[in-house]
Amino acid sequence: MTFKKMQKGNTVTCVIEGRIDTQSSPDLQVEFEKVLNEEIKKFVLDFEKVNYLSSAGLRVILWLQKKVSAMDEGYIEVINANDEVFEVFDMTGFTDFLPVNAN
Amino acid sequence: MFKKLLILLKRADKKLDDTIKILAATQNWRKVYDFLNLRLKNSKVSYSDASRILLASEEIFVNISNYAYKEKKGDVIINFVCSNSSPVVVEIKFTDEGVKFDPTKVKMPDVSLDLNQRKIGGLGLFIVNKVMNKVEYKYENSSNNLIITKIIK
Repeated sequence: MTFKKMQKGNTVTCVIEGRIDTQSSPDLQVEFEKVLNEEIKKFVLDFEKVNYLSSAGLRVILWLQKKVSAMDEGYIEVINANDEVFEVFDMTGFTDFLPVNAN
Repeated sequence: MFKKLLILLKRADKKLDDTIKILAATQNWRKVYDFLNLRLKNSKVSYSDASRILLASEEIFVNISNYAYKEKKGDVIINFVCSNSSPVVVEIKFTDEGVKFDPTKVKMPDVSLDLNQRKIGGLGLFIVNKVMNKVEYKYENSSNNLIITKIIK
């Protein structure tokens, strides 16, 4: 998994590439922690190049979303999710509280 | 020359092992992923179905790695079977000699809860049940045996 971030004003776009699984999720959490230390309100997670997401990844995303929701005017969304990844968000009910935009 | 060619042909025809025995540890997941992914590709399972089967397998493997042996170390044996029937049936069996544990008896999380009520974690077995057609457990010969089955339509 690789992680790139692009900041514009108070918005950060995190471009993640590869598999988000039990082995890469701890690294993803570390990357998110670094972003959280900055003055960011809006988090856009670009999943275009994420080809696999397991519950270990959902756990980190839920953790981040709880942090963001606790902020004043905090906002988070996932964009460009592929069919397989969207299915995981959908079946676990994440799409009820997390905006996920399918590719 | 001809003999050499025959040997090469035989090698190419050699079936992949359908079983892997590996230390139950989350850092071994990628090895298990590669083992299963190669066999799923060889069996011509679609990308979407292969993803679902890998997803379920990860959840099971991680559960065994985290809980089966507690502080001790132990192996898990993973057996891959893909039928030649129509519809194609993929069956993956996980065997460990850890603490007796029946994952089919675990209460499923409520996925209709909103963000504030959601607990972090607990979704693994829920996903397994969602993406697979059958999840069966047997305790035999001091071993946990879990078989997850996917009928490919």
